[in-house]
Amino acid sequence: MLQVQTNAAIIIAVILMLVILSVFVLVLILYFNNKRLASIREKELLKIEYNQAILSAQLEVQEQMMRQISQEIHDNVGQILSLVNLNLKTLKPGETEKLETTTTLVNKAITDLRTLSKSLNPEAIAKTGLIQLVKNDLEQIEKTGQFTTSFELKGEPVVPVSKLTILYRMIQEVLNNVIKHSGADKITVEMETGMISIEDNGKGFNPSAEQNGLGLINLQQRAKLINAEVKIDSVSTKGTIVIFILNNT
Amino acid sequence: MNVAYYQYFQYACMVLAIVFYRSLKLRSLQLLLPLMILVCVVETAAHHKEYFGMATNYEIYKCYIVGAAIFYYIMFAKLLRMNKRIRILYWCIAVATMVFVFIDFLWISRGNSSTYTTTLTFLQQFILSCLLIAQLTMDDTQPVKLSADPQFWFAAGLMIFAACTTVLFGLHSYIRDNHLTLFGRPLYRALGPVINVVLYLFYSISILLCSRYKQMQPSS
Repeated sequence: MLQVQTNAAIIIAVILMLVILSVFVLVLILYFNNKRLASIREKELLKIEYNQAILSAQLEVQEQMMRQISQEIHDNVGQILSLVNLNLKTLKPGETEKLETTTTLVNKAITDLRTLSKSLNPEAIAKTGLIQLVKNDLEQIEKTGQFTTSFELKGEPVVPVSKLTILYRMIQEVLNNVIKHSGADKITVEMETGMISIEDNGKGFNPSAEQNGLGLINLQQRAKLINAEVKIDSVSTKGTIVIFILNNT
Repeated sequence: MNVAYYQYFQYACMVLAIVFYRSLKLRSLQLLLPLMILVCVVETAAHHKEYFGMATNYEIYKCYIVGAAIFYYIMFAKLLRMNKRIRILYWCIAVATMVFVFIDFLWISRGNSSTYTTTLTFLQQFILSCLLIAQLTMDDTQPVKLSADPQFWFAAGLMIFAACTTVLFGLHSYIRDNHLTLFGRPLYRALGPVINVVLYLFYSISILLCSRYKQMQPSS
């Protein structure tokens, strides 16, 4: 009788264990499924945020370009063509020197318009390359006569084409800040394979001060998008150095 | 009329399957309706075996085992993603099993309960439901919320049911011959209804989720 009861107990125990095991496995599956779905949702949200950030960076680059074009037409091509107009109006037969000057001016206007036309193309950044673009920007800055610039290339930064726009926009933003706020007269840009630094000899600033916070957060966020880091070192009256560290972007 | 408590769950499940039959079709679970009709007819007949002049209800349950096995084979063939070779193998195993079941019923276990058949068919149903759950869990192309997936609840119910019944009805002859009881009733009579309640509760959830799934479909 005892043996029979034991056998019955064993069978019940086995069935109970099977039920518990089945339920445990099912609960575990449901738990991991929920976690997996949450992670997928999170990834999708991040992707959307990333795309939005890229889009906004591209729009900013576009705006910057338009401003540059407008300024270029107004200050450069417009001035040259006005001069050409004046020359042609005052040109007398036999004034070959004046005619040659006018031809040179027209050629310069054509070259400047070609450069502008290239920068209108959204693929221009990838086509021209980061180094040339930064060099062009420095040239533009130098043209104002208020700054001396230098460019040192120790190695070409490795950046995927998709992230080039963002990096270029970051460099442009730093250069704009130097022009607007630093009071510097010297800008040095240095490029290495994994690093880009922008240094000025301006009045410096406190990176942790609240009024500087938003711009820096914006810069940090963009850096995050391209898996880069931003380091800022600023000493009052001695200038600022901004370093972009490119982590296998 | 003698109706056991677990039969109410079976009837409720059948009614749900009738009401939401169209929704079941959308999730390839439409065979739940004929399966539930079979279950209800068999259980009702088994409870009133005296009307049919039968001493035991083994023969009636054998009809259920054959019918249910065929329905489950067709259902899993629709639910499981298989390539051509695996599908051929699947149907070969199904046909071979059915041939064995008929041989067992007609010659080996004639007039008695069939340990081999019950063990084999319930074990197969357990494996198939595990495979379906694994497939739903590991689906990378279209990850779904399993707790809201009718197929998951169908497979989960069958998995728990088949895990228990494989042991319980596989040892049917042993339990009967050795008078293994719980609360004064043979083990399969004491535990069987509880397992049935769990199974048909899960099936009911599955059917209700199918109806919700239909509501979420865009109207064309």
